Amino acid sequence: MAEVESSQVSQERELDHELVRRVQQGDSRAFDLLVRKYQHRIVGLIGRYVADWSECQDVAQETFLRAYRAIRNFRGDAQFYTWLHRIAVNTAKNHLVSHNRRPPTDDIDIDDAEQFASGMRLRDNDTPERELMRQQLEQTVMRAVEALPEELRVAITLREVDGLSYEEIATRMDCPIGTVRSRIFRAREAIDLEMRPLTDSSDTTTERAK
Amino acid sequence: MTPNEHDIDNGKRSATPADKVLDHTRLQLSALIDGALPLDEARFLLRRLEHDTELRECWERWQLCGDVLRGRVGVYAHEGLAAKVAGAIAAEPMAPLQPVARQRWLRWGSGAALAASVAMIALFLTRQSPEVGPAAGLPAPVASTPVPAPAQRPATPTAATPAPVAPGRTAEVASALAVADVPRRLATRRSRGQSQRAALRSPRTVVEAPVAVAAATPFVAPATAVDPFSGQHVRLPNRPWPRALLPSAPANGAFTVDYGSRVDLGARPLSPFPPRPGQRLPQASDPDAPPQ
Repeated sequence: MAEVESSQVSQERELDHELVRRVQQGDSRAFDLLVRKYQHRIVGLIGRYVADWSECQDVAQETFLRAYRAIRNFRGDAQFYTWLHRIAVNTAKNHLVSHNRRPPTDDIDIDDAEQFASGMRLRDNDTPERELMRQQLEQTVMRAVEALPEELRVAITLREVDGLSYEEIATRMDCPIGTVRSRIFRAREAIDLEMRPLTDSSDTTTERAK
Repeated sequence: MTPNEHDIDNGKRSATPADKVLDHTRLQLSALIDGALPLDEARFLLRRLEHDTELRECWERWQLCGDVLRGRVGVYAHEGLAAKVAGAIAAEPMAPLQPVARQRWLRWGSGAALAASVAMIALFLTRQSPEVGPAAGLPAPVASTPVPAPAQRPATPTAATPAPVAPGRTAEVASALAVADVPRRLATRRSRGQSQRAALRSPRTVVEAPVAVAAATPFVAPATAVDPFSGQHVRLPNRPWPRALLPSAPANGAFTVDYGSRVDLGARPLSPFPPRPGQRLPQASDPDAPPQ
């Protein structure tokens, strides 16, 4: 299992570092891909410190801006998300101090921050509409996965949940790697087809929630 | 395998070539997210992602899908967060970024350039020593104290007597000493430069040094060599060796570096003032020794 996790971590790390290299070379659009990749996780992490959802978004935006300003100092020794996690925690603490609020004494571990229950504190203060939207998203994804054909469901589960590489999935499912690649792609397409109405309408929903 | 999946795996799902291209691009995107796309294709796709809004949104949704399946999304970020960040970045004046790898290369390169320059200085200083005549005699490596001139008094075979050293071995030792001497030379290069300039300004000092050096240099019988033009044997003049580079430094000082001679002396060590047989040499501990 440790090998599987290290394989997944190294793949993510290579992709992130390639994007970081592009940003360091002056390509700011590559940073947009990093923002789109990590924005939900960062907002969830900041939600452990800042209760208000709107403030959470502002702190998340400030976090990404700080990361962009400091990205030339990122040397790639650690994972990009680990580096971003530290910036988010510091930004959230500074935000609380600037608003005369006491930040928590203990930092949130990066593993704990990625658990589903990590947003419980913020969820308690969330509006019913946003809570409904989040639940709808989860239920939609789960329903879409359950509706997939067996081969596609196993492939996407082994990849996204268990974190296996394509080679390992091909061995497990006894099929060529090209088939694994195609099955995972088709599974994502099917899930995306169900998710798209939710994400398209999320703008209007969140505006109404404000 | 379901019929639908069979069609998918065989690429029969897309009707038009444009759909096929789009499907292929999205298939590549899926592999890119999983880190299973070859590097060249990944770079090409990343460049396309930066310009293709629809593909970028697809990237975001698939990342969100993965986070939901892994249970990482406790809070759903605002949809316009990425756009806000992109707008703020575009409006922010920022100095041109330099790649970290290049900075690292420059750091290593500067170190290498410094090392190369030190090596060049060492090589230059080593080759700057005076020319060696063919009859320069056996090298006199290192006498600990300068010999006062005139050196007419018979010397005793003490520690000041040069030890016999093979010529080849002498050259190796001299080279090693020259290399080992480089840090000290660099440290004192400035003061040495000042001393040399002072020496050039003062002719008296310049004259004194060769005299002292010549006196301190062991006497060697003049050698002969074949004139390449006339074919006759000619006598080569003696030249004091080692020659002092500095007027204040004795030629046979402790730090003098010399080179071996190619003159074969028959493996007989040079002893310019051999003690006469039967003569009793005065010893420092001898109470009967006459006062000096």
